[in-house]
Amino acid sequence: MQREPAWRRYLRFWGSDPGRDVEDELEFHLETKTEDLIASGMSPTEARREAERQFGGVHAIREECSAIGKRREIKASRMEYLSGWLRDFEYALRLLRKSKASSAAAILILTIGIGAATAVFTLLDRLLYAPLPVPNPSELLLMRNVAPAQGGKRNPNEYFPYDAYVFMRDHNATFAGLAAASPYAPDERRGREKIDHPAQTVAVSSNYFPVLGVRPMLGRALAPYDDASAARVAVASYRFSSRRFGRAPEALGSVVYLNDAPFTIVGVLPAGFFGIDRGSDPDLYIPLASVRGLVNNDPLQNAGIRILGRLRPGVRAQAAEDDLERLWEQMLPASMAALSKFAAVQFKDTRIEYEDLSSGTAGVSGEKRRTLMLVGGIVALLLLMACANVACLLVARGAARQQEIAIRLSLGAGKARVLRQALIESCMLSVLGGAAGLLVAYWADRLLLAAFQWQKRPIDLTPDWRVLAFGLGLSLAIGILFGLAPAMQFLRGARVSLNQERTVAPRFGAGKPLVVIEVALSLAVVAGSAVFIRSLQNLRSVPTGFSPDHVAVVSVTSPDQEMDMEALRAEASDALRLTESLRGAPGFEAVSAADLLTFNDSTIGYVVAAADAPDAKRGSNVLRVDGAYFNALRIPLIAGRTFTERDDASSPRVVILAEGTARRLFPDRNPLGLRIVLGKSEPEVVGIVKDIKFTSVTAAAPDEVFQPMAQSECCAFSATTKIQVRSRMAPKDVAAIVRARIRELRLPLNIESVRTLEDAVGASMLNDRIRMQASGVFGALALLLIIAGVYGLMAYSVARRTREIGIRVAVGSSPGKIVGLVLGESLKLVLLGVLVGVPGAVAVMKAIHGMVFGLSPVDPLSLGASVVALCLTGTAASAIPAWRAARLDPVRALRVE
Amino acid sequence: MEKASLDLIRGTLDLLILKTLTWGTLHGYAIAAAIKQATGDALLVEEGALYPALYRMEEKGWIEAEWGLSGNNRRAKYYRLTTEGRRHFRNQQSMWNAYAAAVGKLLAAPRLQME
Repeated sequence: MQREPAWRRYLRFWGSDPGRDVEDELEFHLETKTEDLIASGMSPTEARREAERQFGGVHAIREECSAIGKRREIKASRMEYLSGWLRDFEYALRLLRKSKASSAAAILILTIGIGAATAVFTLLDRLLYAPLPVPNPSELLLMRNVAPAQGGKRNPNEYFPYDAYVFMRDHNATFAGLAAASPYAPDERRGREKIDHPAQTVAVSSNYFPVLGVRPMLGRALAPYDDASAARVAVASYRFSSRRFGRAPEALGSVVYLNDAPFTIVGVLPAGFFGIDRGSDPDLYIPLASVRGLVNNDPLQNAGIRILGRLRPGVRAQAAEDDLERLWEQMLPASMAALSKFAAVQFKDTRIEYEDLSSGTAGVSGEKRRTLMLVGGIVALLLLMACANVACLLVARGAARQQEIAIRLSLGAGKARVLRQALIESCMLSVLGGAAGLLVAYWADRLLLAAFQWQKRPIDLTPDWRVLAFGLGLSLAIGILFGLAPAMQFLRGARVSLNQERTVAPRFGAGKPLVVIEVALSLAVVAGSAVFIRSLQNLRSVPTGFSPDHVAVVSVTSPDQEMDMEALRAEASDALRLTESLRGAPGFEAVSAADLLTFNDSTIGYVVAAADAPDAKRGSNVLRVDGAYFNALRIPLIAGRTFTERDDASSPRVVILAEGTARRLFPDRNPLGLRIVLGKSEPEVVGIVKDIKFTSVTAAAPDEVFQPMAQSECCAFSATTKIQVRSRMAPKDVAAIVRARIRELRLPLNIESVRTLEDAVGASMLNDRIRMQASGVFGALALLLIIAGVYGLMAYSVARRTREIGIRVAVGSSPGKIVGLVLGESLKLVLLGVLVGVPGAVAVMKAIHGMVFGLSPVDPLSLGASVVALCLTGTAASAIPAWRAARLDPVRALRVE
Repeated sequence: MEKASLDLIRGTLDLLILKTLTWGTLHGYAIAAAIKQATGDALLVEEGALYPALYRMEEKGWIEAEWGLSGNNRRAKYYRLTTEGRRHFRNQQSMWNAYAAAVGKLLAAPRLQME
């Protein structure tokens, strides 16, 4: 067989043609056959006919063959296409493995960027945008009344008088139903009983659930007759039912006490329903009418009604607003007359507005919402920075592969193939980064929730399809974006390099501005975290007035569940006996008892006054302690004496005052020996101690009055006694000794909890610490991005200037000078970025000032430290490229081009 | 003289084509001629039926084709066995032999004693 001549092949330049091929092949067969037959003696016409006869149905065979041929052609091209993808994937994987460092850097950067963006997206989505879990949420509106703008500030009010609600409900023509809800509902309380997680209640009209379109999962919803009869019934949320009763069905028929009134649970709502306020989840829904007489601020009389409605199908929200506005104008005068003057004034000249309730109301107050938006904005910018960084990295990497791509193009690889190759590579990186980013996001969201003190809000952070789609979409978008840009550079650069027969790194003009912007944005983030760190430091350094280190606090209580006054007193005296017996135990430096624990307990407030000036009353905390308390906590006694054993129930009443209390009650007088009014008694002041902080380090030291525990017959409110033990032992060892002593003395006491006083003080700063951590994480991320960005750019810049640097070295530049050259360039960029970023940083610092303690709104030290941190980071990041430049071998460098 | 010509048993054509291709690269006409010649015209192969069979086998990857010039300087499509085709041929061949042996055995068997 001879090969087909080339020119024939050119006829098939535009792809194969299966139909023609079949034609040719069959014709060849017939002609050869005819020739053979002619050679054996047939006439040409006869031979042709005979050939066709022996062949069979030419037409049918041709059809069949060309059908098969076409099918094969399609399959082959598809295979070709797929195997092309496969090859590109393999190639991308190989590259990924080959340049591990820059791939890891790119993935890390993308993880940070996508993770942060997804975290904030999840939070914003959950807090602000996800639709309510009810049918057709877009038909739901929440009404509010808005007074005319005063000084540019509008003040929308969600609360209406009850009669206005009834009037609108009965006369509107645009709503399928108008429901009412009020947060002014009784709390769960039954006598003095201590309730874990008391139920949160909300009072609603009986049509609340039908309007929202929610049916109870068990039992019944509220019904009109509940309203009519002010029935004490409640519908419970699923969460509450399972939390309180173990299983939701157990809740039905159970009784809960709201402000001592028994309410029977008649229904349980489906899981996931949380009312209309995002971030809150009422436990019990009770009829509006039942609230009467149970709360001080009766919503039915004091304009405490929120109005929500479901539009009739096809009615526009604006029409409904106009409808209600007309009714509101009609009935406002009468409604205002019924209200107190004070309550009525807020409705003067108000107009009705609607708020879209399809996503619920955010319930996020202005400051937090602004902060959230700020965080969202910063994170979006961080993400942009991350993308820019990765693009830098890839371009720098691509510069090295310029030659290879030029060769591939010249060998006939299509531009589409080169583009596809680049896109596969970048998408692979971004999807890997995105997958890791989703994990980061889940974790970061918990941190953010904690930072905003929303841990208790029922916000479900489990990523759903919206979040996954967001993360994946973002990853792909980034992949395409930063894959496309360098690829275009390759293509453009490649043409040049082929013509000139040498490598010319593509220009990447956007690199420097990107780094400048990056630095500017980071400054805002870093300054924010610096402010939070300084704030926490300030908090820690505030003197509390006592020394909490090495103090273990053992809380003891009586095993009785229901304690009356007698039992409380018995508990206190048992605890005192225990404390007494613990003194002198080996390793215990000091032991004292008190009824409340500083920094982690309630306070008991009293009105006190100097006995000779009973009208100058002051609110004051009363703390009942034994005489050793001041010694155990190292609270210095300024004057007088501390309590002794003789200050018992039978002796005259005495108190010790904190310094500030004494000064305020007895200005310009020595209070020692004087009397104060405390409840029904008039105890004598026997001592004065230094002020202590009691609830928070940020607040000023409160007025504090100390009473001997043995004399507190009038008022023992706390059912537990806190025994403070100063010792070098671990708290649990202290507790073991206390427990043994309780058994020894056969006292009816249990140990409720053990902790260190330091923890109790620290717990009051928990939120500040979490804020510091959260912002610290973001700050660290920003610095990481800066490192990556500056490193990428400088590495690239050094690579581009290899020849120039080579010449400098060759003409005698010292390595130090070269290092200075590179470092100087990066420092210039960072400084420029800092300059650009200062206004943004100042804005951020002002925005978070409300959460900060003891700093001026623009803390110069934080700002300065951030600037220094950025400069150091930037310089450090360019150290490796600088070092590489300094070690450049001039001979080699000059040979590069 | 009328020759006994056997209708081709279904599926056998593939085997015949593969066999002829084990001798080397051939175009369609040559394959038809080779079958005719080797069987002494005993098998009645409608020449046209050859081509769909060839196309199907090409699709299955047993054979591959290339255009070339024939002895009479015409453009012709030449077929060649692939590795896959060679393996398939060996399998088919042993199967066919076993089949033919079994059939032959039965046809040659004396009457069996049936229970």
